[in-house]
Amino acid sequence: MGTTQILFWFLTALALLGAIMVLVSKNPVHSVLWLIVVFFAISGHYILLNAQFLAIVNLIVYAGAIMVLFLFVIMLMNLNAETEPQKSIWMKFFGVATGGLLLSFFISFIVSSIDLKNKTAQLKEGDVGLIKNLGKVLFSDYVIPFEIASILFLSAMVGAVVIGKKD
Amino acid sequence: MQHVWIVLGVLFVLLNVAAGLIWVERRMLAMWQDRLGPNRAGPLGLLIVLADTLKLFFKEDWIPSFADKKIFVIAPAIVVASVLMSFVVIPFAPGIVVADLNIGVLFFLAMSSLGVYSIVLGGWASNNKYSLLGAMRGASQMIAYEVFMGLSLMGVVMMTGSFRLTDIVEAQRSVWFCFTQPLGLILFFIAGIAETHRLPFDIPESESELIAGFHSEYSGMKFGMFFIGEYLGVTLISAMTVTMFFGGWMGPEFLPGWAWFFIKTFAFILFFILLRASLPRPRYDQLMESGWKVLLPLVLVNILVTGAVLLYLKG
Amino acid sequence: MDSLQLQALLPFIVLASASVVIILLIAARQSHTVIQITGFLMMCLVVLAMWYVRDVLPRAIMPLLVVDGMAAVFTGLIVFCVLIIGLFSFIYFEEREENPKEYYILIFLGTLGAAVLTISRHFISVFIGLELLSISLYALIAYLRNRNNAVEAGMKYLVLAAMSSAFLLFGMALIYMDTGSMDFDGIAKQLQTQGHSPALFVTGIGLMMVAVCFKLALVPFHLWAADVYQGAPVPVTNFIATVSKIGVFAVLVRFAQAVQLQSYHFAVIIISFVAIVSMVGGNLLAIKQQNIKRLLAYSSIAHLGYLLVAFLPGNAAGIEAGMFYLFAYSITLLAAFGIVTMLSGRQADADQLEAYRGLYWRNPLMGAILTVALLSLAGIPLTAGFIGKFAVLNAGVQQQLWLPVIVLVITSVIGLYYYLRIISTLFAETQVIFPKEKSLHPLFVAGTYGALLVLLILLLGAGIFPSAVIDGIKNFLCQGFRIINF
Repeated sequence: MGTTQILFWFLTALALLGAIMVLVSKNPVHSVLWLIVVFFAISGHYILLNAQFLAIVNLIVYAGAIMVLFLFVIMLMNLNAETEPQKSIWMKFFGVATGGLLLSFFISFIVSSIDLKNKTAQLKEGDVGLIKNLGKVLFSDYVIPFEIASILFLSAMVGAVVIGKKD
Repeated sequence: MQHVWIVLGVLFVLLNVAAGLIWVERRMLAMWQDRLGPNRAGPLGLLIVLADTLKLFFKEDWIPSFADKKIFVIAPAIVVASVLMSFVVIPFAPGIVVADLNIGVLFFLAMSSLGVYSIVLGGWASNNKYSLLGAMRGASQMIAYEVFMGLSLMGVVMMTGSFRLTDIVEAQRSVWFCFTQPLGLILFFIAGIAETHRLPFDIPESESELIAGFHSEYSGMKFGMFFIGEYLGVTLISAMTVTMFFGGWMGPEFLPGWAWFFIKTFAFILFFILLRASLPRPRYDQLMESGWKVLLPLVLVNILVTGAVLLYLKG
Repeated sequence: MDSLQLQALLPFIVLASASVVIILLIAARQSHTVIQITGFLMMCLVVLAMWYVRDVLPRAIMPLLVVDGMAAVFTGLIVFCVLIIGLFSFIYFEEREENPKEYYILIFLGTLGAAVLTISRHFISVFIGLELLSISLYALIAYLRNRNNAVEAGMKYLVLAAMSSAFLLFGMALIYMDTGSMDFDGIAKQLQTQGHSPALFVTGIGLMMVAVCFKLALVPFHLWAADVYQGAPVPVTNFIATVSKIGVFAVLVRFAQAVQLQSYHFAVIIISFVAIVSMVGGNLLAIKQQNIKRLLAYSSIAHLGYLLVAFLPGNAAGIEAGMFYLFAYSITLLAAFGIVTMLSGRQADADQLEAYRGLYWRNPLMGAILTVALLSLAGIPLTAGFIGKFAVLNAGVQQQLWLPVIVLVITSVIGLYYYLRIISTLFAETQVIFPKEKSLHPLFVAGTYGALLVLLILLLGAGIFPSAVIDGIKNFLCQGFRIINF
């Protein structure tokens, strides 16, 4: 097992642990922190795939900005065990049942998928993720969706202003 | 093996600089405020550094019973860790850089954006209303200023065509970017002050209204971590300013590169302290308004003009 | 990108610039009237642009977009709906205190999202278009914040739409994992070479169907529909009921065409199931409704179920039937919601059935239009709705899809009950004094009535002379089916 593989398994385990902890944490602030751990692990995966730009932007945008806003809101909401609505036991039961079904569904599909085994991701190969190549592709082949994405943000901005303004 | 020495050397120098700044700041503030400052312990009062550190170590390390303990302990570590990580990409001299990443600028931005967690989590975990207020202010301030901190560096990146910091330094061989990107420099520095929450932008702590804000409840070495983190942040922003705008290690031949780097960085650290001595603190809403309504548009204008000029020069 | 490709995209560029123009007008503090007229002219400009570029079609803008005949039909329908909705919006918002200006920006951005969907041939453009549509809708639904249900409706839509986007992305990721392509044609090619029904592809399609069903408000993902329809301002409800569904359906058709979705047994089963439960559920749930917006919500669930029956055969006849049905459904809903808009007052929307008691005696024209619209929804002969349903039935019978066809017929009969219930209310005697007409600029009143009359003529015209519309659709589709050489 090379370094890359060890790193891969470590990051994968970390991401899964983080994701599970997000769900089982009683305190929403702890959940957010575990989610940040997940983002770090995923950024690590991006780096393994040689997509450095994506990795670092994932950190800047998600870990650095969005999760701070999450924390911000959660802190202002003053959540604690008393204010949390109690879900009935049936609710929990059906939640677990549907989630478990979906999981078994996926696992059975992935296991039964024959040609999945020769479709492993190629680590440390490919240079599309490098910032220079990414920029070139974004501004040539994918320029229209890129512009549409900017319009998407315009829409989100106008929407936020409309909903948020006081008058 | 050389690599390990570089890492250890950088770490050693940085921690000493940060500690030394305790003395520098107090002496300088005293000088500008027309008093003496610490002058008893050792020559010129230099041993105050040691005394202060020892004091921090031996103070009772108290965790409030009402605090969220795990987060309370983690918070001060985050600030030091994130700032130290940022130094990884900074080239101190030709060949003396821990990791010369090709996304260096972005790495710096990512790490500095993580620093906000120490404030937010520290303030929240303290379970104290003043701390929480400080944390809230810190979060919104740092998010607002982070946005154009990144954008203010894009002018330099566009002119260099690279995110690698050594490339950026090399690109300044003929002319420093402080002459071609003056607006970028000013905006980056303002954002840098806000990111390190130093006076005049120390709104998260503002001792006169929030009794030290997010670190009210901290004591002992945990408080020391915040303290060190702040000085490291000041050093980091100074070093980044030098790297991005003042030619990094470049300078006349009679001194080696690292010496020029340290001289320039030190000048900016002094400038930070001078700012603290001379400027009042703005109100919170003023800070946010100037950030979003004045500085952000200016940054965008800067990028636009830079891009247009670059295209024009290219033909 | 060459100039011809740019030309082909001209309508979409005009559409995008419409919102920017409105932003600038708002910045210059122009009045609602100016903005309304500009918006109307911009939409006309889009139509003109579409007419202008008709010769360069079909054209693919690799790798993401393709502007062909089918896209032209769908985009044309979308732009037409927005034109009408824009007109109705004026009288709706002029009455209210809330500043309606940003509303137009969001409407145009949402329209652009739906239009992008119609020209997508790649998962990335699908996703961006869908998000553009949904994000505009979040704000639009909650636009009248001070109303009781508006924020609740916006929140519901936000949470559920975000969830469904997650399903969509997961589905896309699985398909990408299986085929190594996000391009519709690329996926189709890869599937052909693989030669068997791959498990990952099936799972991916299943997950994507969740998102599509959510956007089309099909049972069992319909739970948001009634609340959102009720909470949103009437023109926005109209927008959701028409524009957003046209866009999503366009993607569904294009994707199914590329990968031959209907040749997969599992897909046919899923779609039939969804269609049947939507037809049954929508119609049964509509019966007890006293609120006309909720009633139309459930009726639209049922109608989308009918539409899926046309989608099931997967041949040209089915697509034509589907397009005609969508056309009939859109103009019908435009007319119905147009009347609701006209009757809505300053305080609240005219969504209670009581507000319509004796409408025919008070305002015969409005009463007549609403009657025709409801008859069209019910599928009574001489209206567009009948021809639409007939075409759908025809397509279904040809492929011997007996179960969906039988359910369609039975549920249509159930549907007749609640449409007729409203119509009987319209003709009932009333003693209640209703507030006077609004005092608006006569130009706009005339414009609105004009739009309603146009819709009425279309409804009846397409019902009596359907061949014109069907031939038009066929023409456009032939253009689209022509093989494109890159």
